[in-house]
Amino acid sequence: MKKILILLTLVNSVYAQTMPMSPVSIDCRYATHMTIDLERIIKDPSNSNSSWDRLFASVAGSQTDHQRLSSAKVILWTIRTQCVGY
Amino acid sequence: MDNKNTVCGLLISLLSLSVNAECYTRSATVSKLTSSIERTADMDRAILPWSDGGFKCRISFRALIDNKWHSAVGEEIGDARASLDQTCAKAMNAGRVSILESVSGTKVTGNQEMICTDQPMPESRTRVAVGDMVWESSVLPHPIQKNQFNYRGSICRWFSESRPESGTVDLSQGIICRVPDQKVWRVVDKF
Repeated sequence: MKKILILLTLVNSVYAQTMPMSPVSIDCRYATHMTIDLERIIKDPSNSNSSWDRLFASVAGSQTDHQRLSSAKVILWTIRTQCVGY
Repeated sequence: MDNKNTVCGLLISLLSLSVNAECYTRSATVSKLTSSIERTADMDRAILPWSDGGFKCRISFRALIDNKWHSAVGEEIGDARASLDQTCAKAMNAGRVSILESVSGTKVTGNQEMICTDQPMPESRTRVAVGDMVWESSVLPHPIQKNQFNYRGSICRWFSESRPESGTVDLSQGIICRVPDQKVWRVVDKF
């Protein structure tokens, strides 16, 4: 899962302490796997794993289920924004 | 950016509905500020018959200036031989100039005009929910995700929302997607 951490490049963390609004850059080659993971987390935010949790913490700075859900949606919609066909 | 007019000014604007539901009064007081139109949305075009076989093109739209949406209207009259598209392009330009002058005038001015229309007026909303139908200009654009994208055949955009909440500001963001063949957008997600 370390791969995932390097797929997402956090460019700026201005909003990191208040909400997951940091720009995220996606490597679309891994979009399918990430989409499956994220859709699973969105269905059940408590069903995350340590790799995604660390990533969410770097984006949003917190780990409640609600914030984990928001972080997962931010990354999922960023995939849909940046990668064609998702 | 749609336009790059630089004007000095500070804006205090007020848009208020009049007693008559079909009319509203737009008044503005402006002084020095640097502004430009960042985006336009919710455009509506009306072609009206005019004298000697001519026509009037009236364009109403919303303009994003300094992260606030403003209602704008531009009109242009074309003669019988005039191109519809060119005349309406002039109307659009007139509307852009007009709203920039109103919002970002170079000197302190006060003006008031009564506009009557049976078109539904886009209004900024403080809070939207998933499933709501909104105008594009009803929500604030996202500060980072500015470009539209295609999702399952629909054009979609990110939006942001901030709301004062007992001493703090409740910030959220979401996605709106344009309903095919309509001017309205649906809130498809919010987080």
